[in-house]
This record gives sequence, C-alpha cells and structure tokens, in this order.
Amino acid sequence: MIGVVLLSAVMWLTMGQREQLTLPEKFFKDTLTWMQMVFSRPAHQVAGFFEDVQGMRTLAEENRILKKSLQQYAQLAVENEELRAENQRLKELLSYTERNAAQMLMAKVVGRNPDRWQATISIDRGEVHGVKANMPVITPQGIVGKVVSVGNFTSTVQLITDVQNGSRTSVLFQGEVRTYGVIDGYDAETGWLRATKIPLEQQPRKGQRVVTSGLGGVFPQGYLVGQVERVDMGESSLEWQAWIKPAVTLQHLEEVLIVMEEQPS
Amino acid sequence: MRWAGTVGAIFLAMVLDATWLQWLSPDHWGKPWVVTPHLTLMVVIYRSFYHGPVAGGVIGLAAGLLQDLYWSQMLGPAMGGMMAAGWLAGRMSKWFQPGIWLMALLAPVLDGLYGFWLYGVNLLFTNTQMSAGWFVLNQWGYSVLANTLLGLLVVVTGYRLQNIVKLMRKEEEGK
Repeated sequence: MIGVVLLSAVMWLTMGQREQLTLPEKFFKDTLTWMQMVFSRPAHQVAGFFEDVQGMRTLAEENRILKKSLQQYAQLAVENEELRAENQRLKELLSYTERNAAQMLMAKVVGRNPDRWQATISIDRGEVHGVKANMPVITPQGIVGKVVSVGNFTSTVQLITDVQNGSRTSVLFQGEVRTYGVIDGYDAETGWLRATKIPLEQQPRKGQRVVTSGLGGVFPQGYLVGQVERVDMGESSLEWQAWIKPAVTLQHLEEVLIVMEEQPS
Repeated sequence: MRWAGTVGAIFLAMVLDATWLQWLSPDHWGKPWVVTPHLTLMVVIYRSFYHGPVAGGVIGLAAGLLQDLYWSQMLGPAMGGMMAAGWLAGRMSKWFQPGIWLMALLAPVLDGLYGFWLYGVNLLFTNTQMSAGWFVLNQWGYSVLANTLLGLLVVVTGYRLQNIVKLMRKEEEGK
C-alpha cells in the first residue's frame, strides 16, 4: 500500500515537460539513441521494400484516379494561374516579402516510444547541433510536433497527437472568415485531432485547411496541421469542435525538419 | 557475468522495442490495430526466473526507470509495472519449474496486467481520450498476443545462448 502511494506521488511530482536534462540522463539518452540509429537503418530499408510491394498494389487504382484528375487539370491550371497572380499582388500589398524565413535542420527519426501513451520519437540531432527545447518540428507535408528534451547529440520530439500531457496548439481555419481554435484532443480510433474553442458563429466546414496560428509561442504561423473531417457541437453545446485529419502520416516518419529560428530574409 | 548479460539484454530489448519491433505494428501498414511491443518486459520476466523475486523486482524497477527516463514525461508508469512483473515472475519461478511453459503462462497474464496498468495510470494522470472498449479490442488483445510470442522467443533464445556459454566454459575447463 505504501509502495502504491509512493509510486503515485512520484508520478504526480514528475509529471510534465522537463526541458533540462541531467548529465547522466543526457549520456543515457545519447547512448541509447546511438544504438537505435544503428538498428533503425536496416529496419527502414527492409520496411521500405515491403512498402514498395504494397505500393504496387495501389498503383492501378491510383492510375485510374489520376487519369480522371487529368481531365480536371486544365481547368485547375487556369484557376491556379489566376490565384497565383492574385497571391502575388496580395504579397506585394502586404509586404509579405519581408516575412521571416525559417532556418531548418534536417534530422533522422531513429526510434519511437513503444508504448503509445506518450506519442514521442527520438531524432539524431541534439544540443551540439543547436537544437533547443520547444523548437517546432515539421515535414514538407505539415507540422509534426515540438522538441521536448534535448541530449548532447539526440533529442526527443513530442508529436502533435500527444495532447494528453497538457500540450495545446492554437490553430487557424483557413477561409473567408479567420476562425481560431485550440487542439486539445486526439481520437486514437480515427487518428483525428480535436480542435475546440471555436465560436458558434464561425462554424468550420468539412475539407477546410487548418494551419498553425502563431499564437501560443511554440509553432510559427502558417504551418499546415491538416484538414477538417467532421464538425460537431461537442459536450458543452456552446462552441463547435472540429475533427482534423493530420496532414502528416505520423506512423511513417523517417526524416523531419527542425525549425531552428525565424530569420529575416 | 549473469548480471552483465541481464543488463545487456535489457538495453538490446529497449533498442529493439523502439526500432525493429515498431514495424510489426499493423498501424504502420495502414490497419486500425496497434501492437505495443514489450520485449523489455519479456526480458525482465525471463531474467527474474533465474534471479528470484527480490532481484527480479530490482531488475524490473531499473528497466522501467530507464524506459520512463527515455520516453515518458513522468517517472513511474513503466517502473512500477515492470517492478511488479519482475517480482511476480521471480516468485512464480520458486513454485513452478522456470521454462517455456511458465513463460507461456506468465507472458500473457503479466503483459495483460501491464497493459491495463499503463492504461489506468494514463487515465488517472493524463487526459487520455481512448475508450476502454477500443483499447481492449484494438490494442490490448493484439499486443498481448504479440508479446506472448516475443516472450517465447526470448526463452528459446535465452536457453540456446546459455547452452552455448556452458559449452564454451566446458571447453575452457577441458583445456
């Protein structure tokens, strides 16, 4: 009984993000991640082979869909050109060229938390490479998560789906009306993120793109989070809640980009 | 030598849990089921057969602490679970002949309890939104099955390695 109480106390006291690691912790993390690097390389290669085989099966179906899409391409190209011109004008108008350009650092994913309760991955970049806690981690497809702890040569990244440990992300629903929300839930059954705090008068639509809002201090503005899949009232009936399918397939991460800092271009 | 082997096996299991065994989970291949590999727990159970309940508990505590330090944002979930599993495995080995049959009995029971323990802790201390039904049907059941197979693999591999070491020792003594 005393043991259970002690264990509960330890869990409660140590709960939460620890940005600063002790020297033995750093040494242990670096050693284990180095071993993971050695093991993960052949694993990625073998898995890549099987993924290729699986991919061939879907090629025929994709080919059919692509042919259909091609017919719509001509129309889209015209619309795209119009949008490009409009975009260029707006950029000039708002001096978007002075916007910050981020400096990125590529990192390899070398391991993943075997238990899914904390969605964390380990990467092969650490303090010596300039990585710091709370730096955003992305892929060209969208946002992945943030750095939570940094070793000398390796780091641990908390995925955006790991919302159960107090991590919140402020997001913006792209559209005519700028609607803000907060990602504070994840449904493991569907793999969708839940955004709440959406005012009743600003109902998001299915298919709407969701990006980081820049509020909250961790994620810079404009990184793609995903697409709205479902909208409902939630439990409170005082606000909308939107279910978002993440843009990044988080199960298949091999390389990620760490946003080191926003540099003026 | 025995302790060095245990420490080495735990490190190796932790690395394999986070790398190779991740690719065995069906969700990597687009399926809705999840397998959480617990090779480290299986090694703790196996080594506890030979070290006894107290040492088994200590092995579990150390392995769980390392796992929590590396992956978790709180100390305790893996530490408490593995410590209890190590102690129970050590205790059971006093009553039953340690071997493949005991592992076949203990691996699903202890891995099943360990899975529920982690679910309970996360339900209590974090804001997990996974329903118990989904957890049991899509994660827990498959994980117990996969980890039982891993446990049997650990026993077979362990016996073979022990035999090799014994043969080498005999050869050395013969010289």
